[in-house]
Amino acid sequence: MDVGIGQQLLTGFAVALTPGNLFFAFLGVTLGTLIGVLPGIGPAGAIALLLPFTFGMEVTPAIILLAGVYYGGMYGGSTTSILVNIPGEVASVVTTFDGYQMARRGRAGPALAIAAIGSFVAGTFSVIALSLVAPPVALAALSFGPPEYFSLALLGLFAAAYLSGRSILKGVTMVILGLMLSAVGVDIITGGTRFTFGLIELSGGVDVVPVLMGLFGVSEIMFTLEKPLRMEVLQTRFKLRDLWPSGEDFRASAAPIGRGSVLGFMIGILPGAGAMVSSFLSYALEKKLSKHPEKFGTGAIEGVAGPESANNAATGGAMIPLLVLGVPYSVITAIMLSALITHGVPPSPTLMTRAPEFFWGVVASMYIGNAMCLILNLPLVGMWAQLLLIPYSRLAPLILLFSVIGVYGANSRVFDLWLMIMAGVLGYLLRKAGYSPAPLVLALVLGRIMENALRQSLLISQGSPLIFIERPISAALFLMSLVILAIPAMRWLSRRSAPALQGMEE
Amino acid sequence: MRRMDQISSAVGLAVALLYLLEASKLPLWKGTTFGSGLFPTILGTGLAAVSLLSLLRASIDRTSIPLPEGLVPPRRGMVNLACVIGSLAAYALVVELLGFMLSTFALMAFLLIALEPAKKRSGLVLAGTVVAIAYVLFVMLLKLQVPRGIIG
Repeated sequence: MDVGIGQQLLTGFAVALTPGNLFFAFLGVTLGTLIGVLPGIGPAGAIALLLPFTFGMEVTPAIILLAGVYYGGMYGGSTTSILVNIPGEVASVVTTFDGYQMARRGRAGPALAIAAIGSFVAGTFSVIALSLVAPPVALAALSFGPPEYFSLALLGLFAAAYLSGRSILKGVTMVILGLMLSAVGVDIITGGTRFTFGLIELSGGVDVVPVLMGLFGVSEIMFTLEKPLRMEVLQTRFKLRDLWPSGEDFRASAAPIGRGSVLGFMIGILPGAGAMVSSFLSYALEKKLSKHPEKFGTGAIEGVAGPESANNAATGGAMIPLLVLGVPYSVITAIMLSALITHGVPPSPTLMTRAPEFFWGVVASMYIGNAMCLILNLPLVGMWAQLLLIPYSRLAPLILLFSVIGVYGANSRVFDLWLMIMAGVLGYLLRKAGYSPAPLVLALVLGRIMENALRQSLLISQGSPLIFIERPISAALFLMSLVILAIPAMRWLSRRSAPALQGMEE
Repeated sequence: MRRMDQISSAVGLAVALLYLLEASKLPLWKGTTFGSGLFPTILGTGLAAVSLLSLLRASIDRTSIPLPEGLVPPRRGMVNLACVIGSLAAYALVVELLGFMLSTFALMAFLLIALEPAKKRSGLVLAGTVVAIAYVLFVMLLKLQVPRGIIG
């Protein structure tokens, strides 16, 4: 490891090991594990919920807290997947395939243990990789100008649109809606107001927090409450010796954990992908490489080890575009970008040199947080399993309570409550119609950055849009965006022409 | 699903046209630089184009992508949804008049009882307990500003 990075990490540990930051790391991973265990609200909703409460904190403990919720949620999600066959959060969907089957065969303990151990190994790997990869990426990104930032943001939004569902047209619609919302308020460059319709509350723009709470909190609760939620928990009491996997389990899981760690970290860096995509890809990879692929879906431990490692490793990868480039590629990191901007620490390639104690403090806290997660999730898994017995009819009002307190408490405005309610209804209707709200949120957060980059680029080029393809990095990113748009179009055309070709052959 | 796609695309097109109408009031140029109307005009045009494509596709494509969930929830589900949205709207209307404690207690009590009607007493007790804890945690410890309302 480079001596420079080593010294900076030591500085980071000095920051992370202060009592205050240790407390917030512990609080974050505990809340994250809790949120991950309980179905009904995922890490994105939880981070949105906590966001207004962090405004009164210093930036380092605030981000340590939010990051803890992020990767803590990945640990917790596996508990519900394995014990109840309901994913605690989206990235743990894959764990239901084999984890629940293992629990049905009386092997819930080893499934939970391997999920926790794999998550710890992968989480630690991803933080080490983050420490090593971030400095050279930051160096390369110093040459980025407005055209590169515009193209980078465009790539991220198109990738999010592509991966958000089965229709890219719906994904792009959501992106454009999010960008439209971001244009509301005072235009920074000219000082004029746009789309405020005379409402003074909109002059500062559409606040992200109420929209987030509505789209990910209220609408999620509505979706869950519209049908009866029956949860049959297979096991709630665990002895420590029952948890420990056998030698055979460790041998079978070692390679999937290694592969999941690398795959997850790489996928996490990519735009739009994130923990869910990495866990699905890991599952597909392990099934492909397995000598007994027919065992997948019936309780193969590799089907738990690989995906759970991948979804945790993705959290470290996702931090690179956020902290080093200042362009978040997922909803969760987009929310964290809001937090960073609110605290006056906008991320950029110079963040490591501008605020090294903050950057390395957060990285170091992720090492510590991963260790805390292992302790929380292994010997204390029985405690989390007990929480699954709480009926959702009791949880939902509590979540709504925290939502209204958080939304009102941020700016003391009833208008924000109405915004949250409207966003909640909109989010519910959008999901009913097959639209995913995730690209909308990403676009809302990135919108101002994109618009400023666009206008600055056109200013530099004196109005010529060719600037985006004349600069090599911008051109490459722009081309990748077009490829992402072209893939579904080509697939659709080939589907339509296939029957015609078949007719001709006959 | 095709019908749903047609409707949502038509709504998207309407939104795009209204947006473009509003954006036309903003300047495209401001001196020697692009004005505040540039980005909205691009977005409105983009949304109109995407909505038209979606409408076209929904109208001519025989292969239909299935909806992820059932469209209309069961009766009990619709009652639950109405309770959630109705109680939140009522909360927004009265919170600054009645104050944090009263209105939050009413919200919690209503939701806990509406979602689990068989457990009214425990719902009331839980509502009172939670509101008290929330007041201590958020108002007294975290110094969050909340409306005092009629109880002062």
